[in-house]
Amino acid sequence: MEIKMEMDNNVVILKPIGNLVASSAEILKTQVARLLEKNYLYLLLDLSKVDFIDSSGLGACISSNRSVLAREGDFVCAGANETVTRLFRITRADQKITLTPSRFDALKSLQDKALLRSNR
Amino acid sequence: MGERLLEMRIAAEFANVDLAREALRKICRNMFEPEGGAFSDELCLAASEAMNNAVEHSGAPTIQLEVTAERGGLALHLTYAGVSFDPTVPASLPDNAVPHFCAEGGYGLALMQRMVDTLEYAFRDGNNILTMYKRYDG
Repeated sequence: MEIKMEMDNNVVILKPIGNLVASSAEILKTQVARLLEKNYLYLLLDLSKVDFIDSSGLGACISSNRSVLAREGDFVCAGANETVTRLFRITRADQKITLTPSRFDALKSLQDKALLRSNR
Repeated sequence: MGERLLEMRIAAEFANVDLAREALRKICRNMFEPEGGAFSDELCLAASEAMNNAVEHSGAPTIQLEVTAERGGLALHLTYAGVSFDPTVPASLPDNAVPHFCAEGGYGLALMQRMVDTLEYAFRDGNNILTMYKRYDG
């Protein structure tokens, strides 16, 4: 798995390509930790190119969400396929992590929050 | 035992679990779901969790995976040495409905149990022998 990164205003978009599983989950956690170190607090995880996720991949998403929220940032997952969405639903992780079908909506929501914070 | 469709032995590493899972996915597609689907996803998830578990906790150097066609579905037979661990002991998913709580781990066993129709385990001659069966319902 590789993770592509883009920046859109104050939001960092992480786009893993491949399977988010035990062999690759650590890559996501490390990448998120690095971004937080650099004070990037609004992260969008674009899951549109993730075909399959296992419990380790799910754990990496949950851990990333927790780390970002602990820094008073925000973390949103977007564009997940049916397989990935089902795992979030079964484990009820969807009750704790914001999961939106559209990357556009996720980006808009994160940008609004980032703007609100910068105006505080 | 039904027709043998796959037999592979992998070194117990997460990267090899990926290879085994993809081989299994190919069989699911050839046999039942050319475009992929719930059967393939669920069986691959159960297989991944079982193999990850073996890699992480058993200390076994290798894992043997065998896939057979059985009663309108597929059976997975995993054999690996090392620490004995019975994955048929009922497990529940962490309760993420509880406010301010979301577990980072502890899903594997419960997911494995949910994704297949039957799960059998034996520890014989120093080997963990795990058999999972899933019927294809179309």
